[in-house]
Amino acid sequence: MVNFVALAREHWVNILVPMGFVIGWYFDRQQDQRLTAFRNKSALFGRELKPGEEVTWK
Amino acid sequence: MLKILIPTLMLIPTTWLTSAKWLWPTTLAHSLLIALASLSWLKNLSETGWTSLNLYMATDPLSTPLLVLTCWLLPLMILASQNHTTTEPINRQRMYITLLTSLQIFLILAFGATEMIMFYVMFEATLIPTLFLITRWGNQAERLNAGTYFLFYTLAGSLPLLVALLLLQNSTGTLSLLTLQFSGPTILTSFADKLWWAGCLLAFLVKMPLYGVHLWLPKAHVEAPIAGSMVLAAVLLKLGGYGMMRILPMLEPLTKELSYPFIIFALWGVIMTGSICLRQTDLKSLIAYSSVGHMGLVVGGILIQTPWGLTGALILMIAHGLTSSALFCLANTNYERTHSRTMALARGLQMALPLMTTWWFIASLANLALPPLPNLMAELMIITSLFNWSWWTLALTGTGTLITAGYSLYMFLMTQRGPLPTHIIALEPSHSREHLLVALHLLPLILLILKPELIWGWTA
Amino acid sequence: MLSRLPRFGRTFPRLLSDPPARFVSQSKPIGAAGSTAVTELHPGAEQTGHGEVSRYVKNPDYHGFSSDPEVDVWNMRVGFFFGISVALVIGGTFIHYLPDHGMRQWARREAERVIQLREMKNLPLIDENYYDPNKIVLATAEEV
Repeated sequence: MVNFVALAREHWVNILVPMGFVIGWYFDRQQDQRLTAFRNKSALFGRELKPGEEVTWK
Repeated sequence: MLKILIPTLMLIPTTWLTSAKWLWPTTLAHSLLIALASLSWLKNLSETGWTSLNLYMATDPLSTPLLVLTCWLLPLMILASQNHTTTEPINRQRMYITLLTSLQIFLILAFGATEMIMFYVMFEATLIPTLFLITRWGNQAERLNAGTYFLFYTLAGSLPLLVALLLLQNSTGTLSLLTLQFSGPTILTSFADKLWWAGCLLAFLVKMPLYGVHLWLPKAHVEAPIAGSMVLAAVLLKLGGYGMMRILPMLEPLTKELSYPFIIFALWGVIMTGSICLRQTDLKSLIAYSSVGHMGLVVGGILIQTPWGLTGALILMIAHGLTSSALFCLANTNYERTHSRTMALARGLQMALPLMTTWWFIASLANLALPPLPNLMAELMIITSLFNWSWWTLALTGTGTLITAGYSLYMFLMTQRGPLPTHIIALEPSHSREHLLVALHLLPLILLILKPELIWGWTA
Repeated sequence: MLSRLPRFGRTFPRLLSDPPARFVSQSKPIGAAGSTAVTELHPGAEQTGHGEVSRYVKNPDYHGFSSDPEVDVWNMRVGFFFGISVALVIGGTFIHYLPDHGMRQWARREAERVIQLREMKNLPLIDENYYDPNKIVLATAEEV
């Protein structure tokens, strides 16, 4: 147990870069979601969803 | 985009917070992981080519290979400079890695930018860490001179670009690459328009560098520490090529007439720099001049503006990035053992370091464009598209490739063959680190033979 | 006129060789600045001379990473594991299994298959009409 704590104290900095990757990946996902904000909102080209269909395109 | 940028940013606190003992292994491992993650940019499913969009940045098949190359170079630079920084204080070592990391951040922002102005700002921002690298970690007093040359050549070249971009913003109302490609051809007739055309290209031609404005490059290469030489040859020169490819579609109607002198300059430069290489005594300077020659071919391929020319230019940029960086690493292994860059003082190394000779051999063959390697494919595509434009270019390009083969062999024979000079009595054996370093340069180059469409650019 | 030239010839060297006190350079001479910086930057240059004890004496398995044997061997393992095993092998596998962008490879395979089929049936390789003309319903002359 002590060994584990010592290991954590010695190498905790190694978490920073993977954490950065996860955060960046999450923000990228958010941004991609924002690109679909106007999906199927057009008055001219919008259509009713078929039964069982969630979105018009992904 | 952010999934690479944020980890790269986090690499800087990691550098400063990790214990001095584990500084180099930690940064090496994390930068390699970032390089691995950057490969996910190559997954491109969109119809338009633009992926990983966010508000300011995006990648397309043109910028992706250069971005991946940028990310791949950081671990290699860390690996390469590990030996010569060991005698320095620990905070200087940390500062060194921080500079390399910040250079990668600026380069990612430059290659990924969708706004020309953001590209311009990042293009200039890369000068700062590189200047620090050259003037703080260079080996000789001439490094200050080299730093001045480097800074003022590139700055003086790129100030007209800023004016030209602001003019473009005034007339079109946008500088976004995503919308500018759909704007109609601009009517350019007056003399000022021709100046504008030149202003748009001059910065990139100096950066490439075009023969005639190339004087900063050999100086910077020779005086920079190994990581500086590597990143200069592998990525910073490619900023020029990338910028030219981006801005040329907007200059359309004028390019046909105005690009003649630049193409001729570039091809003439291939021959001239090759001839300079043939009489070079300084190993690093030879590799630097060979970069100028190869980049001349890239300039020709880009200015000719056929799909083949552009694809060949992109392939040559990637292949040359890996090859010349590997050659600089090999030159550095010699330098760390003999403390001299003069080729005549370290001959016959095959007798002492036979495995290194294998790497020298492969790297020299890659430099002179051996058949299956991407270097040859790129040169063939560029030469073919130039030949298609005018028969006479074959005289220049053909002589150029002949001289390239000549000086590559000259470099190999000078450093590796013959008897060992008598003053070399205690050479260190080659380290695993150096073998790993060169292998990480050359294996991707060999693997690219198997999937060249990754670096075909827009045509793929 | 010409006779004055020798006088200039005598005065110019004197001007250069014997500058007045105000000509003292304000900046440090470049050579001296550089040389101090070099000694400051590279104290290790002397160590690597002939008098130095090779690092192989202390650590016969020296890999070129660090003078501490433990860090050296771990750095080697980290470098080879993340460089070769992770980046090149996993990265290479990822790239090999990337989806076919724009279905270009599929189009090539399909084209070869269609050509073989058409050659077997002795059909022309490509029709001059992209669409089948029978399927296009045109207005007849009277309707126009």
